[in-house]
Amino acid sequence: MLKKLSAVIAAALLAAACTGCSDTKGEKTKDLSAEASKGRYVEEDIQTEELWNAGEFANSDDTCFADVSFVGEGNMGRKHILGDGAFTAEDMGIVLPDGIEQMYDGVISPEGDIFTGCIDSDGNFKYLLVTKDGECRLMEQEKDQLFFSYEFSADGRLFLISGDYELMELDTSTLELKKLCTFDESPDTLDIVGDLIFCTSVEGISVYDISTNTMKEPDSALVSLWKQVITDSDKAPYDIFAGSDNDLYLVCQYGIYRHTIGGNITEQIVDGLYNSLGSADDTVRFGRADKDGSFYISFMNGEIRHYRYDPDAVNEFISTLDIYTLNSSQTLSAAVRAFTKVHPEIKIDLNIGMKDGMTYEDAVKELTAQIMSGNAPDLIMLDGLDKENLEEKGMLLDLSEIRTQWQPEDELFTNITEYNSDGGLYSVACRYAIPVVMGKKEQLGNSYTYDEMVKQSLESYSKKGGVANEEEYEPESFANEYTELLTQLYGNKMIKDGKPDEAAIKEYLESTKELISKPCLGVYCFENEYGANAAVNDATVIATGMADNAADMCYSVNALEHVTSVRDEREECDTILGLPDNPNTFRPVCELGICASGENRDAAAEFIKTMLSDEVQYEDTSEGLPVNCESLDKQLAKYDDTNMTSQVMMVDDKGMELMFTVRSTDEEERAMIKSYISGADTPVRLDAMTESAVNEAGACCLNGDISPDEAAARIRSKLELKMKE
Amino acid sequence: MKKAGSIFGYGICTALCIVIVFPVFLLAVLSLQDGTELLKAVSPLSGNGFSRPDMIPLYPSVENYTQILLFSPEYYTVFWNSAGMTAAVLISQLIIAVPAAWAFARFEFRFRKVLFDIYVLLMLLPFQVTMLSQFILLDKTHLLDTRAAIILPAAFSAFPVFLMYRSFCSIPAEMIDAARIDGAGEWRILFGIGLPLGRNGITAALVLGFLDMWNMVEQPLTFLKDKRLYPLSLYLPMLGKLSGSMIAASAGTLIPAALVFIIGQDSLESGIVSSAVKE
Amino acid sequence: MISVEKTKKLSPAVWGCNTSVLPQEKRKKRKTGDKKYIPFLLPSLAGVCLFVAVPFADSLRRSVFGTFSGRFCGADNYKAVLDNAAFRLAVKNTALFTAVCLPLLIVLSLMTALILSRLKAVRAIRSVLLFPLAVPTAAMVLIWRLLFDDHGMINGMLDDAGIGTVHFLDSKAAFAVLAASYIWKNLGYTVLLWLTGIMSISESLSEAAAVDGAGSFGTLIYIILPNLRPAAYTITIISFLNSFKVFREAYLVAGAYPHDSIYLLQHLFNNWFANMELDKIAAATVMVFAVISAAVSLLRRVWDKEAST
Repeated sequence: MLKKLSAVIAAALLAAACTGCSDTKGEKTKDLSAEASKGRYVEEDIQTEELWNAGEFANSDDTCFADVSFVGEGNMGRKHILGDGAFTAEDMGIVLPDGIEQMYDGVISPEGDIFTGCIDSDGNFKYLLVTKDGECRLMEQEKDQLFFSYEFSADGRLFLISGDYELMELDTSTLELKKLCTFDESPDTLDIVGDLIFCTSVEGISVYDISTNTMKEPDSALVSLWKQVITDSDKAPYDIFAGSDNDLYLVCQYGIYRHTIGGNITEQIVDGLYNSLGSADDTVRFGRADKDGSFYISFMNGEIRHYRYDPDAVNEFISTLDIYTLNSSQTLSAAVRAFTKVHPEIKIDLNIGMKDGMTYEDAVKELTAQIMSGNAPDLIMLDGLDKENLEEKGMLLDLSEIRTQWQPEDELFTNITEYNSDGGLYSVACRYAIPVVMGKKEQLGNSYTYDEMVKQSLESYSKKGGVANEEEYEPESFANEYTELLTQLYGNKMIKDGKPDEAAIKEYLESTKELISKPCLGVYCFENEYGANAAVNDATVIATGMADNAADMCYSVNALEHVTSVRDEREECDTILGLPDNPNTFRPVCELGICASGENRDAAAEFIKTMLSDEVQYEDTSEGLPVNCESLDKQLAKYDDTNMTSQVMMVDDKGMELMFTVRSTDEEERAMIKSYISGADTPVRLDAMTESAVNEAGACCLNGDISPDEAAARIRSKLELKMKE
Repeated sequence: MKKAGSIFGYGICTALCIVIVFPVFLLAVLSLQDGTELLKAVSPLSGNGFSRPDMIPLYPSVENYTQILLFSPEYYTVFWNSAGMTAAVLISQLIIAVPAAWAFARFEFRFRKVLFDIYVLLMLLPFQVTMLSQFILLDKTHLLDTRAAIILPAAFSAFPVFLMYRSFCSIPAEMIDAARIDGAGEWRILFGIGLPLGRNGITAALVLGFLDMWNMVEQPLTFLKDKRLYPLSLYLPMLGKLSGSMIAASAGTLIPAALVFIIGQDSLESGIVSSAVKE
Repeated sequence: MISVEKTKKLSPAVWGCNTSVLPQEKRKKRKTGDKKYIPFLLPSLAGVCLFVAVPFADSLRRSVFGTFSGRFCGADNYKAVLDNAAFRLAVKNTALFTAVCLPLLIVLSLMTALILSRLKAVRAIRSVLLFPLAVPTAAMVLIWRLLFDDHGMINGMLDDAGIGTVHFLDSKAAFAVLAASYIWKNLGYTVLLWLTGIMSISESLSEAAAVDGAGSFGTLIYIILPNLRPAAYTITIISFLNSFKVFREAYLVAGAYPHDSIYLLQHLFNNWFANMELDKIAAATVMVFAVISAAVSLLRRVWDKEAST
């Protein structure tokens, strides 16, 4: 009986699984394969002005783009691209209502109606509908009602997503809003393809059918593609737009994909790796498919590019360049793009090691297996790998001879690129980060150790009598960041003579523990301008961190110069570059090495040259500062001609949010930066294993689970074990 | 005396069951809890306090399972990958290992003992030892990153040979001799006598082989690169740390294995029943 | 034509050749001078050679020739391995683990099986016994963390009871956790194997012994245990094999460099491989193989004293 019963249950379950999967079986995403020897998409820049505030492309035939802005006195202008790629701007001669100061995110319907957001003189956000006859009507909306996105459908109806996560339709004649449905979480995008509205968010894709006024299930193929796009890049911008017949396209940093609605397959049409779609500087904004099968893609920085299929473009590759990297890197991708432009006959095979489910050791084992079996990559990005071991085993090529092929020495900061040149040059660092300490003018400038910095901070803290919102402050949640920062700043001091220095480790952990035990004091790291989320207070030292891009540099060197919101007092902070007790340090990033057993050495050498070139180095990624002198100059001077400033938000000790404006650096400050960089001679570089050992035990210690003694002991025993092997 | 002994016996039995079942029970219970309730178990691990999961779900929900079954098309792919590879390997093992075990058990030839001992020894070598050479071999034959890279080495495993050997050994020689006298060929003997009578050993080999394949982690990790070929056992770590989906997926992996046991139990059972019959 | 009755009478055991059931019967083997066995054996043999024996031979070669230099270096690699402190630690731990857990498992499961064999309800719990073996590694890792983490359930209970918390995974307790995990996983299955062996011992034997005046203890020593000998051999080998499998769980929970007490040979091999120390792996492999061979032959010697196979 039992047998029969179980057999029946088993059969039933498996049958259920079968039916469940029959829909999805056969679904896949086809990557672009360069099988055909001829024909691929070619990218062209369209001559444009900067179109900062533009909205979605329009769905009509001739009017391709809507950027509505002021032209002349209170008149509205419009810019569009015609079918032959010509770009025109026209003054529509429409007089705008009084008080409107700025317009953004305008969209055009096929008939010519325009809907745009605008800001009036009081700083309120309003919405304006301009009919095709030129009539302007300001929308009456409830106070503070915002619309996250809006778009016209092919038949001229306007759909919007409100701040309350509702999908609404706006009747263009009566300006009445009708609610269609509500979403559970905030949708990031709204795209209309035919009769379907696609709303995507971190959670999933929702599809609303306009014709039947119901929600529909999204195609599973589309869902898997979207998951790939969004999980890998954490909300990377992307757009969905209509193609011919029943096709829709999705454009993102990985390329342009096509999907037939109702079908099982998504296909990659254009690979983002080899063109600007994947660029760090220019993120994709909106896309449009033209009738002739080409694409217009607009980018966040206002540029528009055209992707056209060139049937004669040669696809044949003479050779392949195998690149291996543990984690994806923006600089590396930029170099791939630049390299492909110059050498289209060399195929680049970018192999990213740390895939899902792989531990670090598994990834390294795979690399080892590849090298040992004769499939060594040509070029390796050494970040995170055990570089010393690879050198020892003779896996890396000595680059001393080759380096003459690259840029001349005075164009690069060779103290950084060639920091590793004892007994032969085995790796080249292409980016780096430098440490900064920020604090009050009076205190900075004395040279003191980390220990003393902490003591001084604690002293001023207690002089202030402690601070109010203790309950809100949870140092444990930052334990990981603190230990990471420690290893980045002092990693080189934690290993002495090849052995872990238990006393040093213990000292740093103890000091940090004391520091973070008091609310509102913090050693915190900022890696980009959005990173600062600890409290600001007028104690001695308020920040140390690693500056690794130009925005950071401006921020750190002259940050907090000028408060622009609630508090009236001016907070002035000075910065010194480098740590008092660990001077001239820098952290090398993006290190490249050539495999001794790789096949394509010449291409690899050329690639390194590309990586060091101004074109690639100028891209301001948050991986690190450029090693190319010219690029550094350009990055620091980027905002000289504009009034652009960076804004940083911090929370002060009373829980209030403060906005700090950061301006571009001045001559003196630039000189200081450059002199530090030229004099940097102490690399802080830990291999992944050591770093993770310190971070793990350190986080436990700062959390209170174990004492600093024990944390240091644990770290020591792990490192010793490794060294014994 | 017997009664006391029997109570003691039942006591042991119950204790054993509890200990064995508890982790599985925990898994099942957690998989039926929704996100907020799961936090009681999961969030302390990264911060403060202690993990105190509810032993009985206060708000039972199948959302973890629906997340896996309905919103993760990859789950089906990996599930069928595992099922396919396991089936392929088990069938191959039957075809290859059964005759080999039969040969070791019933035939006398030179080096038989030595060879069998070598089989046992080779079986005991951990994967790391042969990993590189197998990798190179598979690479040279262009089998890397295909299903064959997993199926082939496993199909030729020495383990099932070892397991089946014993039960083939125990078949009485008279029957075989009788069959030979009657003119049956060697293969006929294997199919007619060996398979039915050695059923238990074969079942055992199949069951253990199934378990090995179902939970295999090292080989796919080293030999497969394409995510579409990944088996279920690799999918679980891909889901990240300690989420509801991971727990549900783990429970989901457990179920087919348990089913196989239940089905295979009968063959194991019949061996025991037959021996309990009094003469 | 083939009599099924006969089969039942001889009660074939799953795991052993019950040659000692009826001592008078001798098993006859047909001498095949005509190589009939070859087609049976060949596929398996070829596969095993290709996928296991050849790689091992390759390791052998590599242990005496350097991987990167290609030169003959004789016993250099072996010396390097023996001198290596990590190797010594790993060997010590692995040996300790095997020496502690294997007998523990076998004895524990045997005792349990003996007790259970007297109960009628045995059949019902048989599927339950097999559950642990079905739990996938990733799930085990989950459960480990939930139970044994510094903030895990067990520490929660200890804290409530007033005893301090134990760092299970980062102290000597890790060894106990690993051992417990191994025993938990394999206990059920081993009990089942013993049970099968026990059940297959013919009732008539024990009745005969009872008639002769042997008490239940005597039956145990003189009838049951000897008849379990073949089963014991198989069980030992399988448990030994399974003891290697604890590595993956330990690796996923504690990483490549765990606490000293659970640093096993496989951790070492794993790390050596990642660091491309192929020479050392080769030499260590050969040594490990030698040790295992010695252990297995010893086992065979002890178990097959009756030279029946």
